[in-house]
Amino acid sequence: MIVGEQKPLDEIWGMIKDHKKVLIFGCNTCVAVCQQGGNKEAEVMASMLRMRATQEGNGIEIIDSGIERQCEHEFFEKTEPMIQGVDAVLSTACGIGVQFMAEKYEIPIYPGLNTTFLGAVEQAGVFTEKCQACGQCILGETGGICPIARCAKRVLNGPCGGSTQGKCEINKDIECAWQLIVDRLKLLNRMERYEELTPIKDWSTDRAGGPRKLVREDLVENE
Amino acid sequence: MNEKKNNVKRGSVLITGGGIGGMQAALDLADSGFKVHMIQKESSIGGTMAMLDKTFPTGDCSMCMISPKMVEVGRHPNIDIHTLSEVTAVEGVPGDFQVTVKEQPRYVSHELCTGCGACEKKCPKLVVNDFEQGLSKRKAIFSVLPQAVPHTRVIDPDACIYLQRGRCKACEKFCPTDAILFEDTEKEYRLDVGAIILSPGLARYNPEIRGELGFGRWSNVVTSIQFERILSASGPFMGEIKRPSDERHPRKVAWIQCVGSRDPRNANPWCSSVCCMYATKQAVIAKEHDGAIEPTVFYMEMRAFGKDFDKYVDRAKNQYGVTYRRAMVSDVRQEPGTDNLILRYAKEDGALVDESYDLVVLSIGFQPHPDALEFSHIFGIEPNLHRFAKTTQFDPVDTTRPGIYVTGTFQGPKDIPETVAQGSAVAGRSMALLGEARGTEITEVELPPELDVREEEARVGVFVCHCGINISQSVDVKKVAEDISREPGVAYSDDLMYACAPDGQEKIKELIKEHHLNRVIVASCTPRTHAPLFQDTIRDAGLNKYLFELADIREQCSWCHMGQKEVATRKATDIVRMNVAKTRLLQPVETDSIAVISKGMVIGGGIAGMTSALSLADQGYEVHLVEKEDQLGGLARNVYRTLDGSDVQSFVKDKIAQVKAHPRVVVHTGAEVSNTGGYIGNFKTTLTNGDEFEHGAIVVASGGVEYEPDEYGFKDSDQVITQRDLEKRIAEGLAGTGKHYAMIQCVGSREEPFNYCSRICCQDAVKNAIAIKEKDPAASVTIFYRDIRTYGLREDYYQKARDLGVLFVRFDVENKPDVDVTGSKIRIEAFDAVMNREVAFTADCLVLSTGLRPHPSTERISKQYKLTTNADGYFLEAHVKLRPVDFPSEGIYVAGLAHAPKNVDETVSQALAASGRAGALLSHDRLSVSGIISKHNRDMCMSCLMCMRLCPFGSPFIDEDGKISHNEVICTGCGICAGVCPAKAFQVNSFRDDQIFAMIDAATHDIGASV
Repeated sequence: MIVGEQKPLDEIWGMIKDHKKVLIFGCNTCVAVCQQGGNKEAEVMASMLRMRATQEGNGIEIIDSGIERQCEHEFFEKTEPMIQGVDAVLSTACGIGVQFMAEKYEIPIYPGLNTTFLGAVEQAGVFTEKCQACGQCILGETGGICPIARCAKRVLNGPCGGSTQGKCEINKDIECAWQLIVDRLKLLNRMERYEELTPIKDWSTDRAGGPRKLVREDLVENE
Repeated sequence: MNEKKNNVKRGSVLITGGGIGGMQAALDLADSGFKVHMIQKESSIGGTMAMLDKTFPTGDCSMCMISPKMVEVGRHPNIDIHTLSEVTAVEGVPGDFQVTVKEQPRYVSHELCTGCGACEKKCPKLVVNDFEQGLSKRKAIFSVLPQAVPHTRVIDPDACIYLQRGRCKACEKFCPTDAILFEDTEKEYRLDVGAIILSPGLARYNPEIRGELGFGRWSNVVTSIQFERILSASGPFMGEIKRPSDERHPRKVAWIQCVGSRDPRNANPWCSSVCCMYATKQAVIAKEHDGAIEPTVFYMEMRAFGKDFDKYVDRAKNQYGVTYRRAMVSDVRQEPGTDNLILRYAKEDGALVDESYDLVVLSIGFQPHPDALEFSHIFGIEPNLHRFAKTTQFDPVDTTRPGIYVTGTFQGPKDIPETVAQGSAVAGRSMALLGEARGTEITEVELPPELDVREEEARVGVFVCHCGINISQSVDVKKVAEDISREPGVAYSDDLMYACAPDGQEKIKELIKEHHLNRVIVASCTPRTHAPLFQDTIRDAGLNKYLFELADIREQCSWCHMGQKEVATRKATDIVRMNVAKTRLLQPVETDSIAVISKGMVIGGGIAGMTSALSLADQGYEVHLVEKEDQLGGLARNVYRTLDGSDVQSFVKDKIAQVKAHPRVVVHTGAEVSNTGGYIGNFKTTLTNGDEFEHGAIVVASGGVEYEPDEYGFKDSDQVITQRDLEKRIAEGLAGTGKHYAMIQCVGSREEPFNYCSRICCQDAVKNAIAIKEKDPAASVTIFYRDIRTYGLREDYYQKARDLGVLFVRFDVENKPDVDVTGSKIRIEAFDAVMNREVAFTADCLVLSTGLRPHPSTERISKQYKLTTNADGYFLEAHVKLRPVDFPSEGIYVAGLAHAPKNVDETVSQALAASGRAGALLSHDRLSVSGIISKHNRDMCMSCLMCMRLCPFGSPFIDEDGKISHNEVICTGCGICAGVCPAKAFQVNSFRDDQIFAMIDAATHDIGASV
């Protein structure tokens, strides 16, 4: 799931305050689950911005709405007239939704969130990063613990010298991913795997190869 | 004739005393179909708890907790309250008693009085206010407390000028409903009931007897109950802490403990059980009210024996700076000129000190009412040595007369939760006695069919109440009604003198019909007491009761804006307007009901479990008793005698035989719950042995374990044993004579990480010490202790042990005894505070008083049923004061050591309470679901699981499709899910977002966007 975090209100206000009519637009999937950017959060944010406008004597008109997902064309259909009627949109979707909208509409689309990471919901209100979408999964070799997402150095043959009592040198609250991997391999009785060196990773499937694209030929509708 | 009578079972119960214990019993019985007659000597129910300011450890307001219960009792169709009444004679047999009741005149009509208080304002006579403990005055016509139930005023005939001297009648003149009845007379009548419950409550020691403490002589010496009133926001100083002499804020405040308790010469020999904790609570609350206060508690022994009590005392010390001084104050004198008090006491090293305090609080103890012996005589029950009702360790709520049960402080000193638990316990006992007569004496109310108004346009009727002059003196009631009549959707709007009076309610019903009103607002007082009343009114007129809203313009408007009529009127109009906006959007709520499987399951086959199972079975329900060991009996199998010498072994054997022989008890030994599903009324359980069954209620009585010590060389020497080992040796006949037994208390208890009192060990030590001395007077016993906690009537045995020559040596936790075991001799060195030096003893046997620990299965059971535990690992009840045997998850109850360490009699009481609560539930064929619940829209839901994670009751769950569904049966309508749901898929009936938004818009309608 994509995890996001609302930007400070001051920053948001700075982006939108010079417009006349702004739509606060929620995205009701990933960022709604983390209670940051769903349609309800958009409504709350709109309400706070209206209060801010009243306090500052700014006559800006702020409306709110939202759709199921801002990364698919079809969902936008119903709200099309509303979007056409404003001079800017504050999207509370992740960076994907903001860009997707920006490509669709010729008005400024501002981000309401900082898109934070791909993570899991450990418990209500606690989200942790688990994956960096590197494009070449090695979890099968590392006992199900990702050294790319969870080791600060992305070391493939760890741990490094900064691992102390199972913690990472950058912060004593962060688990050393390689300690976790070793513990896990022991548990699974697969320590022989640890002796094998992992070859240099092909980073071309990661960001190094430029923006990525996936095409499922069988699903693409040919015109 | 008597034989014939024996077969009669009446479906009614008489309860004498409407304190918290009596109310709990009344509600449990009335809710399960029994008629209850509540006999109350005073003009209102409530008892002692209604006088208290706060309760520990939560700091909850006592009145706020008890008042809803009082209202519930007052409104319950199956409960008749007979105030100003006493029982004068009891005849008959269990199941069929004839009770004579004498009722004093009230001089005010229950039917006509609306409780407006106009009479009280006009009454010219002032008398001392007993409820406020003499700290303020009241009128001759009065209400004991503002939240009195019934709220009918009462005339004090000894104070009334008219009744005494034949003139005045001011109350009659000013009563707007002609409710005054000067011609009212004493009445005597007979009630036929099946069982009797005694809950007359307590009297308090009169501290004037202890002249050296200065009560009654120095005005700044007050009793603890007076101090409760001083703390109370509704008390004489409105919650500001002032001392009586000059109403100055005291800085140094002293509490003197054991005034009237543990003192066979000047007062009562027993320990009152609760004073250590209430003094601690008062010190903490005083400090919270006024940070400048420096509290000091003078005490003999800190008896913080209950669940989480020691932690509370630690918090008082460390967080609130309460000083505890182990010293008895011998003299209190007033300092001339300052009204301060000089306390004389000896320090621990023996030095005599005079210290000045601004205020002194005497922690006075409990005792039976002065007429307790006569009371026992009337009911034909035996009193014990101390005039409390006589009971036994194994039947703690049964009096000596069958069919008459006792609860609360008349059975012995105890605190609120134990009183409440006994309230449920006596309800359970009565249900077991009268089971088949359930439902025979209650009347079902016939209601007209509900009109379907869902498709109709809203036609709101608004009734603005004067409440005598309570509202109309500050609010222009007619103007509010007129302004509101112009609001959209309002079909009728007018004022009423008393909406709640019988004629007011009739008028509302007529107007509903005449104007085809389909939604109703009454603008009056608090919804707490009056919303249910008006809901019934409109239901009588054929409207769904959820089409009603109450606009509070008294507590929230007229009372807080006295003398500001213009703004108060404007605010009242705003409040009503907001309610109109909401009411227009109200929809009828259909309340569902579910079938109840009338069987129980009890987890644990110890004393608690067996007692619960037998009680439920006697009430007529089939019970599955699940015990993981191969045999029943639990920890009690290792116990031989109770403190009073009762034979535990034969009690346990007897219980096991009864359980096995009972036709309605199914015993599953060697089995645990492996799989569980369902909810209140409908559980389905599979055991590890493959047995499967369905049931409606669960009692968790999974017990505890004894701590096995590794302290003081226990593991290395056969001469170092536990109290349990010693008990066995005593039972088998002690070997040798003239031996020295040393005992060390609190081994493994009251210290981190097990910082709680195990409650049973002091009594184990005293019990075994007495047994040794009685068997072999030549033997000597020395007990090393921190505080001897023989609370309540157990104090007698502490006294007895001392009389028999048992030696008690106190130690501090920082300076524990040193033990050295060499050969056959044990050398114990300890610091003796009295002699101020180390002392050494040589003993033949060292006995360790080891405490209790939670049962290892607690964690698994808590996961299975989503139950929480406290920091020490014992199950946490729904509310530490008022729901002591309930879990927050409905239909599951707790009893025995699973809840906390306790003695046999307390375990039995609690087990009976749990089965009383469970029985009340199982007595219903169907359970109706509340109307105010959260509704889940599955189409909008995206299963983010926030609701499921945060719901305290477990009502949202992951269903068979792998998505969130909502079990409305266990929803309480708290609204947490609606608050956290990012998709707004949850909406609480009558508190929907659109309704709340409409209210906000109505409140802000005249506030422009450009403010």
